[in-house]
Amino acid sequence: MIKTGKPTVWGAMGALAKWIPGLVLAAAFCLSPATRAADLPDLGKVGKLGKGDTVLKGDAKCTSCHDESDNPKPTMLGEHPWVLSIAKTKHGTVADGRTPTCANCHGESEAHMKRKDPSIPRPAPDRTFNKTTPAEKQDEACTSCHKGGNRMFWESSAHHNRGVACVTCHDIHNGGHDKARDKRTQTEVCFGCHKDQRAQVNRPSHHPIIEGKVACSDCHNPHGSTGPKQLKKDSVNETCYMCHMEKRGPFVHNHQPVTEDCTICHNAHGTPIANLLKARPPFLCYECHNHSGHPGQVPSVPASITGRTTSSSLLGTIGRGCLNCHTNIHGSNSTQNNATVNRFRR
Amino acid sequence: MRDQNLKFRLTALAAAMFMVYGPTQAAQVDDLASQTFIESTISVGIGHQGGERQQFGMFDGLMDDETVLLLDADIKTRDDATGTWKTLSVTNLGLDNREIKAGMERQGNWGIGIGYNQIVRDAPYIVNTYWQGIGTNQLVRSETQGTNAFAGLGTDYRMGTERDILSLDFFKYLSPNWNVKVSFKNEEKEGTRHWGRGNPSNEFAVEPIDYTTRQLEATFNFLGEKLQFSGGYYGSWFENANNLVCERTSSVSCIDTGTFTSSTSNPTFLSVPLDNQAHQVFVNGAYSFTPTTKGTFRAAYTHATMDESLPHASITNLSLAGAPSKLEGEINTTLVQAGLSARPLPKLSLLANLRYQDVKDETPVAQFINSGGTTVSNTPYSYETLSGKVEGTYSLAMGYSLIAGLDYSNQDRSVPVGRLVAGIDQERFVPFRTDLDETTYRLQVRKSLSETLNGSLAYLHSARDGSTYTTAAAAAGGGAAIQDLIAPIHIADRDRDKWRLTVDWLPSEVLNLQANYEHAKDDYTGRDRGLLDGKAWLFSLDATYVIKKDWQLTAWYSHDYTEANQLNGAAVAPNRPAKLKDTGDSVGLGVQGQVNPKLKIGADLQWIRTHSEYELTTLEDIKNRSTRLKLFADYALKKNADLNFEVIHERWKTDDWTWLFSNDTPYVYGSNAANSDSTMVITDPKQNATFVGIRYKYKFH
Repeated sequence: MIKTGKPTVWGAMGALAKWIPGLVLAAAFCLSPATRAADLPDLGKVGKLGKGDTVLKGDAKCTSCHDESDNPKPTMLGEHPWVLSIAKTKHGTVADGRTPTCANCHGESEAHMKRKDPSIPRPAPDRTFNKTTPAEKQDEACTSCHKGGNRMFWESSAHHNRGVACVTCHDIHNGGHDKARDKRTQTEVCFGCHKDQRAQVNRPSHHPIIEGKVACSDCHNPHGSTGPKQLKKDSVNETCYMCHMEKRGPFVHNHQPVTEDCTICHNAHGTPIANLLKARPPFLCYECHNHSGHPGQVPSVPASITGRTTSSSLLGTIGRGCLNCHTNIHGSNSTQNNATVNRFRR
Repeated sequence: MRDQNLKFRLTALAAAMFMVYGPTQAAQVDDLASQTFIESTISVGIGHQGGERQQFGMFDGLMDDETVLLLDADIKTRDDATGTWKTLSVTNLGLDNREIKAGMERQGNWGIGIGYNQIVRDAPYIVNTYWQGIGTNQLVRSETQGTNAFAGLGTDYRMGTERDILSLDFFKYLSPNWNVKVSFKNEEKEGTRHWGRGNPSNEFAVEPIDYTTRQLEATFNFLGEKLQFSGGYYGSWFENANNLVCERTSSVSCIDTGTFTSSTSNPTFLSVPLDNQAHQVFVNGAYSFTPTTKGTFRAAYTHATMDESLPHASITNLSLAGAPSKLEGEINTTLVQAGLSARPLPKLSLLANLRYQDVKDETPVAQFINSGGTTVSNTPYSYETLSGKVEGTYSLAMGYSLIAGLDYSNQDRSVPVGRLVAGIDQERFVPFRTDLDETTYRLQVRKSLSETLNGSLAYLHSARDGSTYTTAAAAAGGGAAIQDLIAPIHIADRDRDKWRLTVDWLPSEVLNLQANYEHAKDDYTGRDRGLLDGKAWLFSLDATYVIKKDWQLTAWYSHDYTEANQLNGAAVAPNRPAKLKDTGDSVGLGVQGQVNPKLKIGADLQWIRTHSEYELTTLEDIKNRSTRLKLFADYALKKNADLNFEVIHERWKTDDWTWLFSNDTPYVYGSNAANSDSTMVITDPKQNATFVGIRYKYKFH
């Protein structure tokens, strides 16, 4: 029986999605400043600012010097890591009793605060977040709270073991705009090291990464995972299926490499060839297929419209290449006949 | 494929939002307030796109002349007394790649979020065809199409898809140590995809896309001082509104019962992906034995099925009599991984893990086809992989450290057996292997902990081999086991060497330089057809320079090269060598600065060139060049309102012959026979476009 429409009531979810903007408008009204949150039961300790504190619990001893004029990098445009801007972030949500004070991250820093000899430079705080502090020492400040969940495998991750610290990517004080956590700016952070991928995402065929619709973290977990290349899922294919589930099958006729690893044929970051293919057909197909039939023929392009042909050597290069005929290359459910089916032509 | 009604509703939404938030009283903020008060922004404006940008516009729907609404918003509020956040984020509301997210959470207690995300993908060319029913599951051949004179006189289409994604998220802390997270995503993907079929000439076809995918993940997390673990469920479902595509002439119907044994049958049926689903349960854990020793584990079991009825079974003569009406596809995957990281000495850290993954395709094997006495069965593939890794890092003097590692992988691979003739499977066209082993050695020297100069030099060598190849069947055209001269790329014996050098230098407080060089070389051994060897290298240089206070320059250049040497054919056909080369050059330049307290200006230039060469073949090179120049200016009208101007000029130039005959005319499907397909594919090798936009940006606390 040939289907004629959406298969189940779940198809109605699509129609619902179209109305989301309207629902969001309703939410926008709810978000008006006059609205107050309900008084909800609190499971944690509710924090409050102490006497003299400016933005964090117990910050008085620091903010008496590090006030609103304290901008350590005043010349770097777009980067205004005002110390006090942490107030705008999740760390600055004092009502959440788990949030830190300055000393939780930077240490008690007694020597820094109580410099006795003004003729010598003031010692640095106990923990600084710059290139002279080992990454693991920097990370201790973060991992004492941020552990488990998506960061379960941080200590065994490639990033951790190559000296990448949390603050290498994350900006803690920058007013709540952390480039690594914003899909539109995340690549600026990742491409700081991953130059190969920066070149690839600018190829003519690419995922919409530079367009801001797909982020590195849609596929990778930079905090470590059990998948290859820090992928979010346990294998390349499981990761790809999150968006390309139609390729999952299983099919009546599976194409073996497809069942194993999408990256045998595709480079997910980008290539010069349509559909993210690593090589242009027929050369891509020639990496596995060698016959005296048309896979062994000379790749070439038909001369003109008057030279249209059924020659597979000419049709295997132009347009979609081999896929002009072997169109269901990811797998076929056809049962029509042997010549067309297990060669993925129907 | 665009929903104009949706666009209208969104325009109304934009007006409503501005009415709600526009009049909000902006505080006259001082420095302290500007640094500490949570800021929200709304920007509204108008933009005009002129020219053509099929290549640049693949993912935003802006391809031709168009005037669009520019509306973005980032609204955040926090009730400081309770730590309750409310957020609303609107991106590109007036474009076809809009995204809207709203959320509310009481930090550390509970949170909910809802999102809508639209992703379009349009093909960068026009298809002119006589086929009717495009976008449906019945493609009807026009009786008028045929000879060369008809080419280009059909109807223009642009293939493309649109994804509408609805997401819902929820989390709740049940206690300080326990929390539960639930996320759900529903995606509707609709549109058309360029397809094809051989008949035996090349014929155009279109796959109708009407997919629904859903994903649900629910996780319980425990966060203890020493022990953390997560356990949960991940389910995913795929549904296709179509289960078969029928191609026919207008004089026959899709239920005509021919013999269907020929590829030229009328009607002809093209299969599509059928509904499938997967259910996974998992548990992850970590335990800190000491402050410097941590063990991790993951166990996951996934049950994936494809049990939708095969549509062919209900069409007379389209499948083997007595064959199952369903595939009853079933793949069960088991993953177990355990790892340990430790620092036994202050200067030595160690890492080890062991991973076992068993992907078992338990789909029953049955015969589905009997064509002219040739039976064909389904082909399940299974993989069982055991892999492990050990790595040590030792800190040397002067900020140097040495990293050494060893990776090992062993894989058992199934080789399905179909129709045996003289002991050789006639359904297998390439050699297979049942075992595959790969060992990788890594060594790296790293210099860190310096304020001015850091870097690393890394070397990797891996060797892959495996069991004896199984014999593949002879293909159409005959030949003495020609197909057995090749080793498929992903299972071939391979030696790989990789080098990587990175240097990060801060010669002064205003200049930062970063250089990177990577080199890789592969040698495929054991068989002399297919990919024989390949190499790749990349060089990149990045610089950031602070020209003066509030003026900054960034620049980067990247050059990369890949080369692959192939040899194809043999015996009755001559050897066909090919040397494939791809070269890429990328340049990025950016400057921005503050002209005066009210005016900030900037420019970004990006230039990309790719060059593909097909040496030892008759194919011509392909060069692609793209340039994108963006000029922008932000003028502060007052403390909480800016005017943003933006001009973007884009150029695309290519000599890609993918859709061209060798005389540079557009490719036309079919043959010279009457009633053949006459679909023409029309590309635009030179595209220039300019976008001009102006926005009013309003900030408030």
